[in-house]
Amino acid sequence: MGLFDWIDDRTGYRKLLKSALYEHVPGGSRWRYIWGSTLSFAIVVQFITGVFLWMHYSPSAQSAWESVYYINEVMPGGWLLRGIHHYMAQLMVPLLVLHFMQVIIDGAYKAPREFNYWFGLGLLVLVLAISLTGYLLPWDQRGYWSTKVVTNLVGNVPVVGDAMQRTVVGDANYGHHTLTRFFALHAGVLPALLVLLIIAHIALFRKHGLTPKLPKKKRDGMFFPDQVLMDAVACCVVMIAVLVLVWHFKGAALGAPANPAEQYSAARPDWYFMFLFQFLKLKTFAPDGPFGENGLIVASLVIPGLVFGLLMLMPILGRWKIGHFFNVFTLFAGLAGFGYLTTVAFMKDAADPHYKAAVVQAQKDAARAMELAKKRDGIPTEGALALLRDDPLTQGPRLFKSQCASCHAWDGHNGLGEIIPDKDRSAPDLARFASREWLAGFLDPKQIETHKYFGGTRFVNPPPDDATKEKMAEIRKLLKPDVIPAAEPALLALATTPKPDQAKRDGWIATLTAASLPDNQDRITSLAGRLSAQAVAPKKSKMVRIILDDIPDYTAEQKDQLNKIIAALSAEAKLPLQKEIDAKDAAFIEEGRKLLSDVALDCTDCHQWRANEGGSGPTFEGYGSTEWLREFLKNPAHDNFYGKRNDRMPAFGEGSRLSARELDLLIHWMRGEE
Amino acid sequence: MTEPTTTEPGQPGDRREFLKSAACAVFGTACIIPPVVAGVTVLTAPIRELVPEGVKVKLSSLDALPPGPPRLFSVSVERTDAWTRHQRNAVGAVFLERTGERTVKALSASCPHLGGSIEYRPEQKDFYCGIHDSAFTAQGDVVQPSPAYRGLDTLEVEINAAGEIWVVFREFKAGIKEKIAVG
Repeated sequence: MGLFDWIDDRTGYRKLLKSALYEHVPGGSRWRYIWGSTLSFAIVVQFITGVFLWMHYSPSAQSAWESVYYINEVMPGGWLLRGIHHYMAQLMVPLLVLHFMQVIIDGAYKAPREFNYWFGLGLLVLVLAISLTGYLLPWDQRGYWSTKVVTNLVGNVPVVGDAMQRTVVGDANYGHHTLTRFFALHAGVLPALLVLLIIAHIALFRKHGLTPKLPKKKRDGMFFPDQVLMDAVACCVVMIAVLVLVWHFKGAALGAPANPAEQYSAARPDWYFMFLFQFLKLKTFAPDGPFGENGLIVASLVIPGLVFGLLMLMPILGRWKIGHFFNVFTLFAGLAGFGYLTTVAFMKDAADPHYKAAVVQAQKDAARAMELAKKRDGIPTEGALALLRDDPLTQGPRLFKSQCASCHAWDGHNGLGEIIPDKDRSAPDLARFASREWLAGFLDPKQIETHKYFGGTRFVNPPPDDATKEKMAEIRKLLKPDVIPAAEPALLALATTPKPDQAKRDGWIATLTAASLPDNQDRITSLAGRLSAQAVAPKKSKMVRIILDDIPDYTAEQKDQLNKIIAALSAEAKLPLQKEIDAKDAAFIEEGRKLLSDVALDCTDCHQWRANEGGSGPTFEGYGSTEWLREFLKNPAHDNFYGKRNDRMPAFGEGSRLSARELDLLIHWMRGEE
Repeated sequence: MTEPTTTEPGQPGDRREFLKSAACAVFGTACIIPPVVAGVTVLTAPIRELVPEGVKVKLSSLDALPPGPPRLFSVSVERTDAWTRHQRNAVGAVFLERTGERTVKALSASCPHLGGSIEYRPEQKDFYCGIHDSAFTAQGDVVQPSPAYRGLDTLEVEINAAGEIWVVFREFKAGIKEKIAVG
């Protein structure tokens, strides 16, 4: 007796294998029968990769993202392992749909296979539940905020909603127990149920046999080897597709660490749930829609429940004469709805600049968190969020957006990439502030009046004097209130343009009379004429006048002096980006310092430098340095800066708008320091 | 109903059936290779890692370690445990004994039998591991009969000009006669 005979004698494996492989296939093997096998294969792959991932994943709020980062970025082969798990999960959805279509179209749901069909529906629900619970596990911004939406929907279930939500979340808020519970569901409870249902599904499939597609094109055959070969080739194709996706996207993406304090407006479910996401957004279900305050329940519970109920009833409906036709029609209508809502959801996102900016920012944060973890040889015990919380490159732009971007811009945007229109910029662009390039642009007559520098400020566009303002107010009273903003430029032009061109003047007056309240035209014409006759052009600031009027007339020697002074002033900032050039130009810079001390070009008439006390301009001592910026931001109205002339720059000192830590983060970012 | 096609051994279709069966095996195996390879690569990563160097750590000073029985010091080092960077992470313990004016002996507190924790018994003046009753003399040699194959592992000690006692902390493979560093 050989070894295999001995084993067979005790286990009967040959009989088992034979019954597994030599199953009767009516009409012979066909490619359309591969979907059940490819799905089973996908589940096996998920089990294999899932178990290996399980060995390295740590479900807690301080270690989930961190352990996934470690798998993805540090462990050899980890990116491939997680990539296969992720993209196989993505492919399982179309495989499920194809299998479902085959079952419906071929009528495989009909008697006596009702239970098998219902088990299949159960498997569908389980696979989607496993996907949903897996989405949270990396504990990144996308998974965190998307899943929060789902658990809030659970909380809206009538009567038991709150209890269910607490049970799933493990607490009132998301935390360790949310992850341990989701992980246990994802890797333990749901897969165990899945295995039980698969066993029942396959056992019933074997009991009733395959539902052949009629008419049969070939003679009847056996499952092995013809159908098995087709299934194996199909499984290889599925695996190749997964590997191509993994290769193309360089593994599965990991977002920025979940931050409960930072709402993530680009939170979206995985693509196969996007139709539901879009469905919930339909106006029909808004509070002012036909369902009133029940809209959310109807959209998230009642309608999906009815659809699922309809799917459950398909074997019963299929008994009627037109039942099968109805089922096939329902299938395609459902798929069309799924396709339509999914497409609409993606198209809306593609056209939404806020969504796109949030996605880009999240990608930046994710890349930065990983970069910091690598640079610092690990993540602090508080978790990856601490890396970003103390990082100037991450926090600086956010602080700039919230504190500075209502007046300033940063390379034309608000720090986080959203462009600020010129009309909303009333202070200089601060990107690379105090660098040579920035100062040279500032002192350039062609640039000073642009919005990069003083274009939006009152230094270039000073307001009219008080007497003129009063006269303008008198005219405003005679205008229709709703058109005053439109008429304002004409009014301002009249008040601030001495001896204007006659045609222009008449045009401005015509604009005002057109905006007049009834019967005020004559009075407006008279007042506007007087205003124009007394018009005074307000004076631009002294600095702007020097740049516009004096600098263009500088001699070659003065221009050389100006360049040296720019280099010297910029060197005061000690900017990291100029470290090398400042070291290289040490002699040139020293000459600039000496020129400032020698009162060259009259800079120190207004600006303090060494022994020269200066005047009303900001001090040049340490200009743009960390300390200078800190003191300036704490109190711009200090005598060293704008003094009493400061009329709009708020103080950001401790106890006011920013903490000392936030102030430092902002300053370090502005200076390009890590 | 048509009869299923079957091929008996030795018939003309035999070779064709064999090729089909072989193709099933090839494709069936090929499709499962990527997840298994990826998983095994990740799982066995620790095997491919180099044995790390010992960590030099300051444990005490000559002033604080007068002559007398050995004293136990816990060893905490800056360390990255997978993804977490620890500033002070407890990694083990060391016995230090002052043996001369500027000489100190350092013994690992990890049992060379199977890694249990060693204690010093002042009454018996010996070292003892309660897990499998391994005992060692005050010098660290095995007291027979003992399950341990070697004596306690000595560690490299450096004393600088300021009298600080630095020890190169290492771990050694347990259960064998040779002293082989593993971490």
